[in-house]
Amino acid sequence: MSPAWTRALGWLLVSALLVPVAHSVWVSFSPDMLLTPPVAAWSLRWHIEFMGDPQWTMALGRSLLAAVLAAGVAVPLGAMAALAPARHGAAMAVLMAPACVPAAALGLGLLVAAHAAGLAGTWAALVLAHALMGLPVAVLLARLGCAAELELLRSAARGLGAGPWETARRVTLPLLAPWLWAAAGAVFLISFNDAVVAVFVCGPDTETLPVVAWRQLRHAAGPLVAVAGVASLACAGGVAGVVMMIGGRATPE
Amino acid sequence: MTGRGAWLLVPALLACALGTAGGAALTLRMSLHAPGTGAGLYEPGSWSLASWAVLADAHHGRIIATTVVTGLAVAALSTAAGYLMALAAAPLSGWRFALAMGLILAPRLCGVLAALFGLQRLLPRGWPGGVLAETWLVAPYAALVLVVAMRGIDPALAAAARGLGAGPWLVLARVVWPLSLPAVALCLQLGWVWGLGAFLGPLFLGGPDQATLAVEMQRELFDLGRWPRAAADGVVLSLLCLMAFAASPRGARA
Repeated sequence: MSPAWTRALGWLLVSALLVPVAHSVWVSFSPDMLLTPPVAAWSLRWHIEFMGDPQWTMALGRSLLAAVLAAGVAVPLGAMAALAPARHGAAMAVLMAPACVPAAALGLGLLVAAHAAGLAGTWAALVLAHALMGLPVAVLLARLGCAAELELLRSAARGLGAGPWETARRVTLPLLAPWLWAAAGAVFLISFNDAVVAVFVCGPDTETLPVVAWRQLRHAAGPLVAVAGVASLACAGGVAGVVMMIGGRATPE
Repeated sequence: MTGRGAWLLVPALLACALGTAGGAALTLRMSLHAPGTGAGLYEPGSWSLASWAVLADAHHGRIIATTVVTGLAVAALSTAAGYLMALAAAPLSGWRFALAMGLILAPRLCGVLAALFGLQRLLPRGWPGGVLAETWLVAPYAALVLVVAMRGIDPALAAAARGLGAGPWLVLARVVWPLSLPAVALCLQLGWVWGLGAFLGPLFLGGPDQATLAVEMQRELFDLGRWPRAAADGVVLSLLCLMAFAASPRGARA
């Protein structure tokens, strides 16, 4: 379909995407403060220090909790929007708006809104902001699950006398489940990795892992930031893997 | 939006409208407050154009110019990189395709924090470093859009072109490229809008003279505590994004 050299260049770029992440993982095993990738001597010194520092471990816990809560808010809303019978282009434009606004502008707007509502720096502000960021993806993924067969099966169930709730429980949810799990995974990752909107809406009691790392990266990035990156990578990758596994099992025969 | 069940749309629509349009409206109102005195961030209940007046100075002119040029550079680079990655990944099938897409998307989806640390240490400081870092963040999404578009192209068309004697380069130039143009336009548009909002790249890798509006906004907000000025920067950034959407080709908006 394309010349070999364009494909080779493409693979080179894919490799380039991995280089910064690999470098960070490598540096996290450095035994000293110099932040040079270790060659002869590797050490878990900074990993152990990270696990023993409540500033980092609590931030990691807050990131995980915020991501789970954001998925818990965004996925039901996205599924409901996807199940609505007809959609105007204007409605879809509004639903996609949070993904099209620059994250910094969105963060500032949400900060001002949270300030006006008396929610600045609270868990509610953080979770709602992350749910809003994930909502467009949740709607898109849930819509992908709403294939023509689903509508036919729902109509058949209603024709056989099932009420709306029974149709939802017995037909809609089982068929949508793999897509909803995918949506939950996507929203989780969006929230967990957010290093922009969180900077605006987090308060001292809700600082997530990227926000703590963000503060350090701005001044003097130490080895613990590299370890935070590794921890974040491991958690996000692990959760994505688990969600894919559950989603795969939930796929109807 | 007709028929039974249309109410299902309401919660998500309300959330998106309040979160984006509501936030933008409150940001505009914040920009019209008088600057705070003493430890205050702004004067509650006041009306003033003071924060907008400073936008006309040379410093802000340079920031707006940097923002626009950064947006264009990120759009062009991320689309070009995404196109090449899509050319490599789109023809694959089965587990090879899944692996390729995982390699393209996983660093962006799972490893932003690790990547920022790595990018900060590997890329040069200054405008080019900031643009490259921002391109790193946007290019995977461009690749995703372009892979979907390329896999939607009927393989019979490329086979027919090859049957008529066209080499791989001619197939790319005469079949794949024209049919993927709407997706290219979409990537350029999204890349421009996201590039206009460039924040992490210029913040961590850009120099002090290459601040974008987003970086200036956070500086006004967190370092200087001048909320109305930060809000004015935010409104200008949102207006630039709206103009970028309006100026995009019709194919990208469809």
